Amino acid sequence: MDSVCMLNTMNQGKKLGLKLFYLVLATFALLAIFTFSSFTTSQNEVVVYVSHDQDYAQPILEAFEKDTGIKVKAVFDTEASKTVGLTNRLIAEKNNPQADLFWNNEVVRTIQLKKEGILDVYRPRNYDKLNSLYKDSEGYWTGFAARARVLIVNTDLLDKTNRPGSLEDLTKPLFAGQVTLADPRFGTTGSHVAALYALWGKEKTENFFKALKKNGLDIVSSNGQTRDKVVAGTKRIGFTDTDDVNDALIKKDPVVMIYPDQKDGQVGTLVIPNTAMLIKGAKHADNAKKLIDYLISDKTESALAFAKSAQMPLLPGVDRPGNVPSVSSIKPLAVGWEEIYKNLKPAISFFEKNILQ
Amino acid sequence: MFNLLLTNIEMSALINSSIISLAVSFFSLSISLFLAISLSFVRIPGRRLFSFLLLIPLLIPPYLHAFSWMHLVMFLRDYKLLGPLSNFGIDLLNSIPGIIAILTLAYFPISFFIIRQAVKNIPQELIDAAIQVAKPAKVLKRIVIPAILPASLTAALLTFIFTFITFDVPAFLGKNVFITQIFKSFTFTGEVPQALYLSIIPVFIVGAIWVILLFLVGEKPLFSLSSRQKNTPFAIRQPLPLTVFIFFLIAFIFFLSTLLPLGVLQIKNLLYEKVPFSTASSLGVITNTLSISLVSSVCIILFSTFVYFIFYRKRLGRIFFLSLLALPPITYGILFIYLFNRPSFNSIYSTPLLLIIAYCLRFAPLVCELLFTHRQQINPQYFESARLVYAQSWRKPRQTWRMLQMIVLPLYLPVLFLAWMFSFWLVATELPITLLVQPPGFQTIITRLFIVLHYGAEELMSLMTLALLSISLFPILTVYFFFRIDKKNDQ
Repeated sequence: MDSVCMLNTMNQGKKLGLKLFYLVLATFALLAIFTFSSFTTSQNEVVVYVSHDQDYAQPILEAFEKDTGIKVKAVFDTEASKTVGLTNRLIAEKNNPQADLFWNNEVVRTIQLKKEGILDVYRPRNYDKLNSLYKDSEGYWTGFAARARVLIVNTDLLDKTNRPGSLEDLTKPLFAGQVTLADPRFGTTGSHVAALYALWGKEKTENFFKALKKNGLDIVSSNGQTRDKVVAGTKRIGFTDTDDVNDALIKKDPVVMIYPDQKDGQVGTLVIPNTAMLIKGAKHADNAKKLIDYLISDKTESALAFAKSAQMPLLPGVDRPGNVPSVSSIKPLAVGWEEIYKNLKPAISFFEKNILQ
Repeated sequence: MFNLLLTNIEMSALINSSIISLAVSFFSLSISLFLAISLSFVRIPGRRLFSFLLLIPLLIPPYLHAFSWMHLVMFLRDYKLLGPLSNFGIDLLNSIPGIIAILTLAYFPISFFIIRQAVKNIPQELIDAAIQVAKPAKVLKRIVIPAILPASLTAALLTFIFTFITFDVPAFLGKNVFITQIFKSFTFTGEVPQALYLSIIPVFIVGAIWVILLFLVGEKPLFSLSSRQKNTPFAIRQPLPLTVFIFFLIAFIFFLSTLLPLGVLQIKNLLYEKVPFSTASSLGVITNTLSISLVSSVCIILFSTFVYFIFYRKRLGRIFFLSLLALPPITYGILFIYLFNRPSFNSIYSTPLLLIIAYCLRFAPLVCELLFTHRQQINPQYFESARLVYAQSWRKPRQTWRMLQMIVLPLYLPVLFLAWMFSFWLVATELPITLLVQPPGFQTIITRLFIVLHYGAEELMSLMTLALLSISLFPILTVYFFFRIDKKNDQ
């Protein structure tokens, strides 16, 4: 073997060893700095898991930090995890909870957590001021800052006279191939379908969706994509949430928001509050209760109403902008959340077998 | 309890996933073979630059590819530039061929890099001898292609794995895939055993393919990231117009896979939205991304080296670890929580240490495979000579350490650097596991990127991808020049 080559290799090895040593040392110094602050946990903090959009939730949490001096450590969810990421995490962490409270942006997964025994009872200061539709009767969760299920309609493609006013209008031949809906297996669409199951019954609901499918119903991955398709004009009508439509209205896209089934004799629409709940076994339970009180307050609801999400305050007399309706002016679907939760699995199962294939 | 038999929708999703993954593997392989052979054997200007640039698509989230193409097609439709084909373009994008095209553009760099290195590893003597008696085209057919076949098969399989566990692009384009079914099963607590069972299916499929692959190639190295050849072994002389055509074809592939996904939304941002870059991210998020990627990638190398020496050198260990790559990230994350969320691990669980451990376990198989194949390509005489030199001393542990330092380290340095670079990129762009086990108060660019997705803020998403790209390049170039990883360090 070439001895010169061997010698060169050995010389390189000496220098390399030293360089690698410096690199590994720097890495572990970084690691130590990185994790040091995490090791020094203090009692004056609260850990919150947040399903609500970060850009709306973060200012609220920062304001709470400033007002109370309690450090907030948040974990946010993303569209990519289909809103089940944090729920699964909370269930997996059941025996050794890391979160002190959960700020969810809907109710069905909240009920699931309650059934799993993840939650603890806490009635915030303003609990009694809320309508029974927007809180748990046993005090496990409390609702605030709601959105509603609405129709988004492209105004360039559908004039006023032809726009639907009810969900059942969507089965008309006029709207064939023009309606889009998010996959109900994830997100608020599932709650909506389950609510119809509870209200209309199995047969009527299934016939309705089969008729929609026959009429060319398009299924997309999310409420945001529903909005985007209607804005782009690829579809004319979509089922989505008020905050998704508001995003488009702020950008002055050619769309309008319709609250379906609001006339006398019609069923109303689903109103979905954010929910705040205390985690059982929370390490900072007192701080968590303070944060829940802060969330279920006039100040927070007003901030969320004035934000881009344009969410409807549930507490009476809260200041809100002109484009955000009062929740009492909307006819809600008269069905309880426990009932909706019970119907979620059969609803999704039906959809998988009959609509998604 | 759960059903061993799949339901109709699960079977349909499995078929969709298999078709998409097989097609993406096939097309990626085809594109990669073309690129690798062209860049190795045709004198094209900017060959080395292209070899580097064609890796950039790996840093771009596949979702961004889908978004950009959708925006482009809708823009062309709105301005009637596609004519009667406007709606056809959108329908095509929302179909399985559309998904295949987008994922091919996102994942072909995996195949390309592996095959390119395989071409550069062909012994020069073999090529020299063959070129004496045969034309270049025949040498390509009879020598080059068979020599790179094991690496090509590995490249196809790795692309298959990455495509199979991708769900966001098919979901965005309206197609149900197997990973979506696993997600759905996790949403109902009663179906968690079913979800775990479904998660094992891709592992078995991939494991079976690895067994067949190892049977076919025997002990030949599956792939390597180090390379022997520095110069073109031979150049295929061809008419200038053909060379120009090949050059523009390569440039076109680069345009479709890199410039277009990054550029479409940037242009839209500049013309219409004017979103300032400062809204895209924050110093804390950037620091977190840099730190976790840097620390994790070094830890992955150290951990993988340990795993390699203890388990990986046995065939069964290799098959087992490589098959684990096909385990869906959500399953991985949830199992990880169950494993580590105990009071005795509290000091680890709520810190970034947990993320580092998760990344080590997740990406170690890839690094181990690199070490394994590199070892097979090292001249065994180096180790024989080193053992002879150091065996005579009675201070055995110290001499073993000196042998490692003087001989083994320089020989492994190129592959360790490349493995570290790959690990860095994989960690920087990892999302599902990060979401599940990230400590409170910690966020990286990739998680922030997917959060802003909800607002339809594709322009912000594009800006953040640029931020991710810049952050990834800086430490890689720094380490490259610090260690002077260049031709001199290769054997």
